[in-house]
Amino acid sequence: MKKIDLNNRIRNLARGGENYRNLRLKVFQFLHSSGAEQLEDMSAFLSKSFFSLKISSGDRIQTKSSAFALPLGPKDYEILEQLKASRSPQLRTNYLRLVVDYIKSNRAAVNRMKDIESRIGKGLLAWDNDGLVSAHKDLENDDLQSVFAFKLYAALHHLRHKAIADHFANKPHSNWVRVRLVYSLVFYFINTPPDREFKQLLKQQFDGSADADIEAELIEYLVRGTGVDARCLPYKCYIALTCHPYDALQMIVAHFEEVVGAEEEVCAEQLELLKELDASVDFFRLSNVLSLVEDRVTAVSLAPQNLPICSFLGLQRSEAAFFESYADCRKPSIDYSTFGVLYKRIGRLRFERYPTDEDFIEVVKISRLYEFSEIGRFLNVLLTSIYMVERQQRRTERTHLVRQVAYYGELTAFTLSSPSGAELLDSRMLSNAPEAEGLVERELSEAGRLWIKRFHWDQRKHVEELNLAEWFRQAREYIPLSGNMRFLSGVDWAWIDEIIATVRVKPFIGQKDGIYVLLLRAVEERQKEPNVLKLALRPWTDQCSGLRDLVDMLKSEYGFVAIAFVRFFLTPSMIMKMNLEGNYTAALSERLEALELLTEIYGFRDDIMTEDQFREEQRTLTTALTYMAVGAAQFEVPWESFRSEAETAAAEFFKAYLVFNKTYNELPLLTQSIKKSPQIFRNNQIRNYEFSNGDWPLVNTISSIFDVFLSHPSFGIESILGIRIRHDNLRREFAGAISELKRTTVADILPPKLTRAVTEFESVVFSKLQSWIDSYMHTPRGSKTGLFEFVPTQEEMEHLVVSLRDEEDIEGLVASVSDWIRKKLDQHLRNARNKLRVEFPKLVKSGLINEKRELMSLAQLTSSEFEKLTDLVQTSIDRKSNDLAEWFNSPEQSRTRGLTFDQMKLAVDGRFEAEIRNHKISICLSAPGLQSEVIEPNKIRILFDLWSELIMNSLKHSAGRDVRVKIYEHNSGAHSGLMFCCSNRSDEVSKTVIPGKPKTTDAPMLKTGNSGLKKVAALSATLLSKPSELVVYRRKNGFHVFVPLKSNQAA
Amino acid sequence: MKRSVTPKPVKVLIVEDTEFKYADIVEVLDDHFGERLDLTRAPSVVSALTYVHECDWNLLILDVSMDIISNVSSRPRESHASLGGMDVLEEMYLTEKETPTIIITGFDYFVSSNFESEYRQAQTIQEIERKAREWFGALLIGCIRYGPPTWRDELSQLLKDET
Repeated sequence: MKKIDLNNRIRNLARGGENYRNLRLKVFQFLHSSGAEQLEDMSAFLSKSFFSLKISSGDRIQTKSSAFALPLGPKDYEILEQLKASRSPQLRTNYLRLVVDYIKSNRAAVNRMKDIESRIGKGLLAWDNDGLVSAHKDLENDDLQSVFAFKLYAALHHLRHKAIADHFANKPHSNWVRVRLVYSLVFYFINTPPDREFKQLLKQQFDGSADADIEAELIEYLVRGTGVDARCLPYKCYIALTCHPYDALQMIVAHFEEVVGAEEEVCAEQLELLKELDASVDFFRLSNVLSLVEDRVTAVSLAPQNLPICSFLGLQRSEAAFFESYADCRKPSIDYSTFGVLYKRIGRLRFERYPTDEDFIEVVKISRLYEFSEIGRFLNVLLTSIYMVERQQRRTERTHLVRQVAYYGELTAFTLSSPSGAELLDSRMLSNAPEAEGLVERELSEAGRLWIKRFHWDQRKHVEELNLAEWFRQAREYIPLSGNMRFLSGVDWAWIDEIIATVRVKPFIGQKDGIYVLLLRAVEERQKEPNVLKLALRPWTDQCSGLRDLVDMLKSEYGFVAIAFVRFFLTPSMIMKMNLEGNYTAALSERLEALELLTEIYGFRDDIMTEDQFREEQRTLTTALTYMAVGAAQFEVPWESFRSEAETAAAEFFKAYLVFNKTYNELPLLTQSIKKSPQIFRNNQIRNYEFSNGDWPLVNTISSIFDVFLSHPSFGIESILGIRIRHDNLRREFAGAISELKRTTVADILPPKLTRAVTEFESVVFSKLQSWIDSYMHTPRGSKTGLFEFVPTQEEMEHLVVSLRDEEDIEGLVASVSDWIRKKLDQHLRNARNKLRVEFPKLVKSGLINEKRELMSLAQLTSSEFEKLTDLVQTSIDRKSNDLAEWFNSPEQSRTRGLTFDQMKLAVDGRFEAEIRNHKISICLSAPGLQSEVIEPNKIRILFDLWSELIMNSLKHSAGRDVRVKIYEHNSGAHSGLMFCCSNRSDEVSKTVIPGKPKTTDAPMLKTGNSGLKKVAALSATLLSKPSELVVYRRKNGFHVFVPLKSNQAA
Repeated sequence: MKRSVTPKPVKVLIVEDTEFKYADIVEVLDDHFGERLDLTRAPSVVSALTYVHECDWNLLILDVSMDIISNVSSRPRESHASLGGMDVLEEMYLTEKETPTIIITGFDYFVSSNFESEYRQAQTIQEIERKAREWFGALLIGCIRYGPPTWRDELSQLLKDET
């Protein structure tokens, strides 16, 4: 039997009258199995019917799924996987052949969309929303079935979620679009999140399903145009063929722009197909690709004229002149005062040195929102070229360069001085234009935003030659550090990573300019505690005895930038890691003192630390002191903070959920269909839920709230269990109790024998304790058991969904889930208390009995000695278990945030923990009259500072001797307060009165040059809210300070 | 006359803050190295960073989550670094301190955040291993989850393979 060749098979399919979309699986089989056979073009007649957008003739709206864009399903995913894996060059060319035929046969639809592009471009630049909306309204039914139209609608209505929901619910779309694509599409356009966050959403949305990866990848490609490898041309073609022909054209052009940017080869067959397409559709970006592939660039222009993008969008001459000046690298400025609001914003970004926050945010947002359109892409390319967006992968930046050439119609000096632009000097693109480098060198101005292009252009030699010291110096001189305004430096941090990967930290160690560059990066990328900066600073920190010394050095070298070092880099844990302070309280309070000192000298700065941010730092210290002073209730969760964090975490899911709620749920067929899917929680627990499509967005929102409770690093249940319970703490408590037994006198057992025996018994207790912890002190997941089960069961989640369905604000939703979690926590804690009080002692007892023989042998005990010791250990365990059950007490519902004086002492003791441990100082508080007093929250920090300052003073004047400080309550008649009595001896006998004035809340507590006692006087007056006097008594046997805290008259 | 050769000591640094886990690890090392074992313990990030630069170690056994500073009785959660071991490893990488290393951790995942806690990331033990491998290459002997009954065998096997 004669084998039918590929072309006949495809033609036979086409002759059947069915549309390609219905036959795409068969077409794939033919192409995939055809080996090296080349697909030829179809006749125009066959092609027209095969690739027709309207399957039936006439104006009747189609109801067949093939009439809708992206009619995809699981079989398509299988094919996409195979296409991704395929390395067949012929398969690529054959699929490209099909796409070219598809676009050619629907030239009229492509031209209609080009017209819409022009209206969108003009409308957006004119800030004419009505014009944009009417452009969408004028789209024909066929054109509404384009990804372009989906995105246009979502962009136009990104502030009106309900409108988007209505649109996708009521207008005809493929099932795949409604069920799989819309959620991510809506999420993206409502939030325009950074790519990293969008990827996270996709990961979360599809996690657990069989086709999770391929679906997430496909949706990223459709929404963002990224995520699919440039080698996957057949993959892109396969998708392009299920979209509108204009989408297909964009996908193909974007693919080859990337290929050309990366200087990869385009084979002759594909080049011919691109030429054929170019001749048919006349699209300037495609023509540009061909021009670059064929090396037609012969010169570099300084001032481009007649920009193709302006012709394409149909802009007026004055508008075109604006963009011509924009790309003229010699132009310092132009007059754009008569232009519309968006032009003005775009103009200020280019013609002024630094953008305002408002201009920057608005233009970046519009460029991201409309990036699917030609005007959005153009704006994006402009922003990239003036370093207004974060540096991207080189491949992406090179694609932007290719697009710039398309938009300007020639290679310009403006393009060469863009990110990665200098790399073109050594590329094939410029082999016919050897004068390019000299031209840019001579002509590139540094006026307005061009300064940053000039800066990076000038640094290219240092980058090439790895002249790091000079590059660091220049960066420090020219690039300002900006913590709040987020002016980007334009530095390619990937290049710094390459340096570190090659020569590690060496070039930065002790290098003042290099250290500045590392700080610049830490601030720009919001890095937490970068170790490379810590190491670079080591030669300095090695000379420091504490944070104050380091801050002095930073102040001398960097001036006001020292504030940024403290605020962004010297976090309490970093201060501890650098061994500058010995505990958390000391690190936290020293950090705040440093900030106070620096802001006192340099003032608050909008770009590094505002007054509000400083106040926040003060509040953090007070909160930390409050929490640290709280001993027993290990499971105390700051519920207000939890709710606030959960609201932030769930906000994006909730916004997207609102879109689907109610309106979208009125589409019973789509939204009531049940989907079973595993939900993966942050503690790695997986729960299979079964809900209708309409309920899933709410399930995702609720789950995101649980995720915060499960995984928050400070108060999440895993953190509490891991750090406060599992992490050796329980064991330490029992170890302490048992070791006391070694010092106990037991009749008939000599001390050495007792010590040996208790050590052996101890190992049994620890082993049982570990089993108990392993069994209960976890959130259950996988094979791991645990008492702390918070992830809702199907029934519980159903109950939550039903009760929260009508919730219209995120606060109410989070509050309800938060209450649910609190009740659950109370149940688990009751259970845990019982397990610790009752079950654990039994476990220990049975363990000891089971090991009796071995224990007796190891410790050489008689039977009666063993019984006696077992009773002893058991009693100790009973007692300790009972005490430790307090750890699992449900915290009171509303506990005052104030502190008692005892708790304040604990907090200050924590600050001086090392000195107390090393017996340099002992502090004793004896103030029974103050036991019932509570220090109000707004006074905690002041009293802490006052108390700490006096202890510090005592240490400072101790002359190396051990110091004892006793604190009594004292009444002077007019005031009651505290008497601090320090054992430091004095040669003189005197009484000094130091007046103090209250500090306003605007003034930092620490005034430069004030003595410690003056500071204490001021703090005391602040507590009293009026001027007061600190009385200091110097005596031979000690030093006494009376600190008034309360006015008796007022009382 | 036959001369007895004193076996060369194997200098091992164990970075571990949990007592019972430390004791368990020492037991396995004792079994493997016997009297050649020359052991030093660092119970915190800061002490580990001091020790790693002090001499050339034959082996480093590294915990991931640990206290920043040891002997601190008041232990607020901020004194604990959930990725403290990775700090040690990164510093060794940055200063080109090359020591064969085994990571032993009692956790399946680790939460880290950026400066403003905008993006909180839960990293799995596999991701931790991948990052460590990026820095250390073949010098990272392996990464073990402490707790399951097989962990001792896994550690013994790694030690056998390495020696």
